[in-house]
Amino acid sequence: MDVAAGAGGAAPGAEPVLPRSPAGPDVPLVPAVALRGLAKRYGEAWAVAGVDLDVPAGSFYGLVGRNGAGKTTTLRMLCGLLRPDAGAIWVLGLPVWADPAPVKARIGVLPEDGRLLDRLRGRELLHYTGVLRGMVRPVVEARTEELLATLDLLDAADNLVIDYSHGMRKKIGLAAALLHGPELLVLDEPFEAVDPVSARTIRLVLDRFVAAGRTILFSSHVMATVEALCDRVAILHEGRVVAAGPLAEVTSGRSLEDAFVDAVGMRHLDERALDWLGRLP
Amino acid sequence: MPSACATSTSALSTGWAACRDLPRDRPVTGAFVRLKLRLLRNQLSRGNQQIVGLVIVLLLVLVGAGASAVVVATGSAPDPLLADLLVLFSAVLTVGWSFVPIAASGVDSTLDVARLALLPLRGRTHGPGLAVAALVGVGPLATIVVQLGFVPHGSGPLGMVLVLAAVAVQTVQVALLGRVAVSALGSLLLRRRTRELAFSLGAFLTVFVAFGLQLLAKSAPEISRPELARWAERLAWNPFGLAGRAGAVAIERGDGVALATAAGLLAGALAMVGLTARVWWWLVERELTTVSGAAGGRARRRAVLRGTRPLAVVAARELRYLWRHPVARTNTLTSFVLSGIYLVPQWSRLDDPAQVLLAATLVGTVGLSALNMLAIDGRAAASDVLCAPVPTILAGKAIARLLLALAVVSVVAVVIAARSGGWWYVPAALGIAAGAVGPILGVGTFASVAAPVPVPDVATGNPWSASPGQGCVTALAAFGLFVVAGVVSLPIAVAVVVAQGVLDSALALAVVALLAPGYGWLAWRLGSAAARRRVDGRIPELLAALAPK
Repeated sequence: MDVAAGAGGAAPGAEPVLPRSPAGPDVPLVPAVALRGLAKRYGEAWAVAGVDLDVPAGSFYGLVGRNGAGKTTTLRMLCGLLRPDAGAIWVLGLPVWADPAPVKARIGVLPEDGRLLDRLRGRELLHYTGVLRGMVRPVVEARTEELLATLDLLDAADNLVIDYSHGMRKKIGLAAALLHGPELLVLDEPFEAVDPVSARTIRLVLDRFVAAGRTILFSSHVMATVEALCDRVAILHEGRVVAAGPLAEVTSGRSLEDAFVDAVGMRHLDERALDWLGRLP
Repeated sequence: MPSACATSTSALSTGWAACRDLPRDRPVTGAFVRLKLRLLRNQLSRGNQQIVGLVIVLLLVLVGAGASAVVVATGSAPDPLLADLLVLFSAVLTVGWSFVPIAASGVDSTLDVARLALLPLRGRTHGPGLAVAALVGVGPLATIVVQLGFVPHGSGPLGMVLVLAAVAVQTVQVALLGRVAVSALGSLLLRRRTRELAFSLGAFLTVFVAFGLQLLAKSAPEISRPELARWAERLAWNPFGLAGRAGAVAIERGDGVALATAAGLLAGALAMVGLTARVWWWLVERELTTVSGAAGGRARRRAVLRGTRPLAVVAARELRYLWRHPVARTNTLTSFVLSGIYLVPQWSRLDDPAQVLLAATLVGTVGLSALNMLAIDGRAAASDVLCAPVPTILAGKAIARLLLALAVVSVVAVVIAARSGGWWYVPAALGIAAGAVGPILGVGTFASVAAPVPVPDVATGNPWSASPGQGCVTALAAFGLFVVAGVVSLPIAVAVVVAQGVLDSALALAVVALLAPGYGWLAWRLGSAAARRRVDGRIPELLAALAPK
């Protein structure tokens, strides 16, 4: 297991250390996402403190970490939504911060707290998303109907998005992210608040996406989901990558949850803590 | 085993060389306009309240603008005066459009860049669309309409064409300027503290602008023609009003030199539009890369206000909220600002000690927040009603407002007493105020459950965000409730006038000051009892009204 991936990152605030390949030119996979010395600070706290990471093309890559580990900040920076304080990012071979627009044109993003044009109806949201992306109308219309049907949103297609449940908002957000046929899909907690049937549907869609040679990078707190879906995983802790690589190597025969807890550590619960919960009033 | 980061720089780029051949960008200006219209239409489909609001706005703004345009177009004012007016109006538009869109962008989600951040926005393809979408709406339409009145006054056909072009360019210029203001402040407004500060300052600004407009309306008829010309000359430098100047020149003279000058000024105005557009897009690009909830914050301070009984807990918490929540803080600050506005104009006449009693009238400043006590943080009301009965919650909130009202009255009473020497009247003013606030809190308590109005969630990027039309309906309801509260307070006012004005008796005034709180308490209890009956069994409906989807 490669646990040194994050440790080798640039010190926060330092000049980004651009790629120095330890593996040489015979590396078989060209990364869809490459992060080098990525860092971001909020006030005095480093949310991301020097992340080095390659996400191979065609992989289903899981990013896991505790709350506040830096997952969302990392994903926002690589999508061109949040300017890093240090480091460099390549997505599909393009340096993101040289010009984010071409990168955004080729990726689909489902942010955790995605702000949608929620005064549009579901069908309208997909229509305008496609048109504003420069897609031709017949293609937008055909894909809209197909996505609405696949994600079980046809009945709600003519309701305002603001009236959608949290899970439905996730699904319409995913549909908007898939509409233009991106090469890379970046998903932040895509299964949060989604019902089991819809979750199964989404998994099938994502499996098909990866099977076509495209790449998915997604973050989640749910280890079972990551374990079931991903072929590679990175564990973020306190803004750094503490473990990364193929799932089997990161877990080393344990469950992902055990490997994760071992990697980030866990404070044991005092035996007497909350003992009042065990007493009836 | 492949490393987690095992690729050379060259491979990172060359491996995806195909990605550099990006598809040609398609212009999407029409899509932005359609999107804007669709959003406006969908907003109206949310309910009759929005439609009523839009109709009122249309009547007030468009009819007003149209009437002004007709008056200007058909009037017989001399051309030099019209030219000066056009220059002045361009300056007014510049200032107005620099501030008003900040307050209005919360309802304009087509221009909320944060909602478009995932799209590959480019200045060339998307910039014009966003700019044109900024021109769709009641405000821009009114701006165009009101300026059209100047067109018939252009010197000859060519002059009229130039004035018309000036109107168009001026409208685009100020609309872009509004976008610049919103984008420049956009990232700042994402920070909670800045947002709250802006919200509070916005309240001050609103009050002072209203005050200033009243003064202007009063003194405008006295402004002489030369004075107007001097103002026009001073404001002619306004770089964002170049188009207005071009129109003014085309109105004033029709000779070749004048028309050429107007055309030159118009070209300058177009260059200014281009520059403003460039600055705006630069700000948009900056905004697109800071879409993030800022983290951090100061360490918790020790709670000062504590309580153990539910009523005391709610009152103590409400007092904190009156300062911590931006909307509530704005109301609180407005109460004190209104006191200042009340005091300053009368400062030279505050020499009668009995004028201290006038401070009691300021209890009305808490009225607006008292009419809708459950709406601040309305989404949290559900957890609130699980912890305590609604009447207890309302009583605690009323106590907090009583304390605020007494604080405002105390400050003003002390200031007047220091000026007039009427210290004896300070406790009397406080007693009368405690009585007068009772009817307001009673009516407010009932109104808070009978006609709750949701307060916008300030977690959005814009602290002024609101649903269109809500303002008018709320204002009408508030006006009606104020009238009721005023009528119920009338006995106290009559008693004070009789005791002080007719009998001129200190004893009688003392009796009134002692009895007034009892009357106020009774009025509040009646309102509370009505509210209790009203809310009984209707908590789900109340919660739905406070936090609609």
